[in-house]
Amino acid sequence: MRHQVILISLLALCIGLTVWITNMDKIGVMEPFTYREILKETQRHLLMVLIAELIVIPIGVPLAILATRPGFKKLAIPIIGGANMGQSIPSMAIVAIMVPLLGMGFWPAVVALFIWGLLPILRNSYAAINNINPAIVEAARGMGMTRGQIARKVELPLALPVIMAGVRVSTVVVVGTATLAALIAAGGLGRIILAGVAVSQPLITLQGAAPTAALAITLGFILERIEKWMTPRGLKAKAEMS
Amino acid sequence: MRRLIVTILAVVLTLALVLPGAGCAPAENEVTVGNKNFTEQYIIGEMIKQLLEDRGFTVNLAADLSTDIMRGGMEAGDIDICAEYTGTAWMVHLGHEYEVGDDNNEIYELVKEEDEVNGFIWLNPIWNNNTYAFASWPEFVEEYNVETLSDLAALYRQEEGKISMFTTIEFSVRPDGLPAMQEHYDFEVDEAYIMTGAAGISLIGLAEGECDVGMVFGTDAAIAEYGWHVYLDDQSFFPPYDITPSVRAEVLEKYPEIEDILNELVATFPGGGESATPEIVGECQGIWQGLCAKVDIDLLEPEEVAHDYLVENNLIAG
Amino acid sequence: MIKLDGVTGVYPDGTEAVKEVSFEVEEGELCVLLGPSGCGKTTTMKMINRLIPITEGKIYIDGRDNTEIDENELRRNIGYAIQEIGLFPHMTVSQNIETVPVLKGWPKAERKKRAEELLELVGMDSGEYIDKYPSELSGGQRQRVGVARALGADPPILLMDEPFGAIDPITRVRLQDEFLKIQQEIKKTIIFVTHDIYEAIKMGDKVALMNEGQLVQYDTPANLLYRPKNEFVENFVGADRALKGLQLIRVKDVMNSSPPTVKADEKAEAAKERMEREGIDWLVVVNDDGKFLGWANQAELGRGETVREVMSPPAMTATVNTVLNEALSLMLSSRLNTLAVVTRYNRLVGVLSFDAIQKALSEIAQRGESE
Repeated sequence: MRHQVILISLLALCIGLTVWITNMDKIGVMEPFTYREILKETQRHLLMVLIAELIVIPIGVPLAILATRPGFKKLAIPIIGGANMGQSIPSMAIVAIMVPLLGMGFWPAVVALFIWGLLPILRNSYAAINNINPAIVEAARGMGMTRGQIARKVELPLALPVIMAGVRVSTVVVVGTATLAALIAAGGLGRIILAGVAVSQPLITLQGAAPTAALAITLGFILERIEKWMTPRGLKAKAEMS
Repeated sequence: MRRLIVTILAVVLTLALVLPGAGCAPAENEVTVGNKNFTEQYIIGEMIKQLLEDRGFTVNLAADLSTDIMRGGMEAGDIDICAEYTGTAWMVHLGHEYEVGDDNNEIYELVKEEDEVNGFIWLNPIWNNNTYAFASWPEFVEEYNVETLSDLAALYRQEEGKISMFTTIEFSVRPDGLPAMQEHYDFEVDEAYIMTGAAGISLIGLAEGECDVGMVFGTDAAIAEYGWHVYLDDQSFFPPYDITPSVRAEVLEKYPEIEDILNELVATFPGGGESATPEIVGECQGIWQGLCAKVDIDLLEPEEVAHDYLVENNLIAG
Repeated sequence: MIKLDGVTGVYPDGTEAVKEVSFEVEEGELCVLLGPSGCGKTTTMKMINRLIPITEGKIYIDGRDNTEIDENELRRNIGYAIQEIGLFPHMTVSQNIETVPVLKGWPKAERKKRAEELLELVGMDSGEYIDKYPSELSGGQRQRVGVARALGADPPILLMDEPFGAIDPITRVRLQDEFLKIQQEIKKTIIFVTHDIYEAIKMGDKVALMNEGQLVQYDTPANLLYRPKNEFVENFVGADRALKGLQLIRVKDVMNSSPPTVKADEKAEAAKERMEREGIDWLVVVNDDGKFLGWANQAELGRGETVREVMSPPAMTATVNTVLNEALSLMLSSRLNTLAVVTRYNRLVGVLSFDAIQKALSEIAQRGESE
């Protein structure tokens, strides 16, 4: 409960700051961005994030699950290792690498976000399945479930909450990274942030940063609710899995 | 125990990284040179650094600064020497409105006079006029029959602003940037047709055909490389931007020889030490386009390009 | 029902876990696989439902080679209960128990009914627990649900791998007793793995003692105790095999089924007279339904009107199936030399005296000596 109160307070703070700055007449020699512009960039930002996530989830989750299957266990190291590497490259560098290869604009930015958002999803999905108590899987097998039934009836429902958590982390991270998309003409709230940096007006930067934070908080909150909804009742009661 | 050792190690390492830079008093013959974060500035920064080092100075180079941070550094005394643009100084640092029609010489003199009062000595200028400009592919120019910015403005009015233009983020929001240009030339770019990005991306954008009109700078290497047409600023909207070494007065007092050394560098460029003329400016721009091309297209290091230039012009030994 | 013929199991890395094991389990028998860690008992059990592949030899179930059936089909007809239990935490108790019926396509109403029945069978109130989640149950309760789940689709065979191993000793004894009671009702063919000799003797109709992958002796518990084949068996069984042998005898075998009783509401005087007349030291006090209420002895009877007022409270009781060593232990700890024998519902069925136990013990000792 307290956790939610803090989130909502932060959200209110971000929105409040945005409104306050937008209503100013002048900041230095510039006028602040208008509500319409902020809204437009927010929409664009959100669109980039959503599309990137919609691509990374159906690729990342199955890939991670595949890495847990017997016979494919060897794939786990290159897959997770590769994703790890993807995230250790500074997001700026990924953006810079994208340009000569894919050009600029919306879609190349989405590709860069895909690379950046992949790791949390892969890592969580992999751990989610691997960390299921082996006794549970053994019992399922001994009772006569086929591999597919074990995956469907036992492993996936148990793994789902953790996978969802990975989606949540990935989304929030991608919201932050998407601010760089403005560098390659993809628009988004980063444009406002970078404009503020360009003219050395921190308030303008804040005018872009606050909505970005608000977006991250809101998306994180929604996904957390979904995560809770997906957690089977039996897992919420106690931590112990027998 | 192990924790203690790790903590001590961390503290020592941090100090080792922080102390050498942090505000210790400069040694004898030591100066700090600053430059901004684009190619031309990297080159001039290296030129100044290597030349001064050749003449017995120890130089700390603070590269990759933004306009405001570099000026702030000069004002705070953290940076001793930089190469700033006359136009930038006039409008941004000294806060004046640029009056259309003031030419390169006038602006230089005005800046030099006023900034001396602030404690900054402007040496001889290099007339390379690295000002904002817009360019398009020759095909576009032929199709729409546009040559000057006034022509382009008329085209925008005709097409209701629906021609794609790519500028830097900075230009699009600075009050003396796109907003002022649109007012001066009386046209408007449709919101949906304007693209912004990091410096340099506009060049890629134009090269890739992502936009019809792309923002360039007077000395961009790509202009020569691709054969783009640069729209003539027929109403002199854009202020002159001539790169000029400027030094903090205290530093120049302490090391007066710096003035001669850096003026030597300026003298190697067309019109160095003289008044500007359109021909001189044109020549100078060409040289700088070439220098920038070595870095941006041939992918040489600014350090190397600066070194070669200094050697070729007999400023330093090989 | 289950026949192992020269079964050998070799792991991929070359270790021979099971070496040419052969034995046969009759229908309705509970066969215990016993042995020290690493002897191959669990591996042997898992080869019956093919969780571990058989390298050489054959296993026949009801006459059929178990490799001829699809392995999942095979497992759905063999109940499986493991030490860690492995209940599905995201499913209710009911859903857990219904697992195999679901796999077999039983209709919903039938499944639900079966789950409730099984839950009652393992001694849990189905109304209260049927929709609970495993995380809401105690260890003992989870174990019971595990057994219920294994019995879900009424398989003829049950494989149990140290099912009571992870439970505290007190609950374990109770679960063992209850399980034996259940087995009496359902009469499944059971393979039960344990390393605990006491458990083996108590639970098994037959015991297969294994060591280092080989079957050392396959025999009744009594024979294992009194006719050990070799030194290993002797040592494993332990020197106190006589006491252990008490495990083989149940209260019902040696109790007095018609003990002297008195109703609680009878007059104490009358009871006292009766005792003097018949020359007995104690009477078992029951109520009108025959439920055990306590003990009455002569000395106390003088002090009150009715028997009820002066009787000693119940103290410990045993059931007909309690094994003698436990009964002995109960007696010793309650400092009585007699123990009331009652049903699950506390109805008196007999009385066990210390003398009876002593008699049984001396018979066993004699039997042991005569070898």
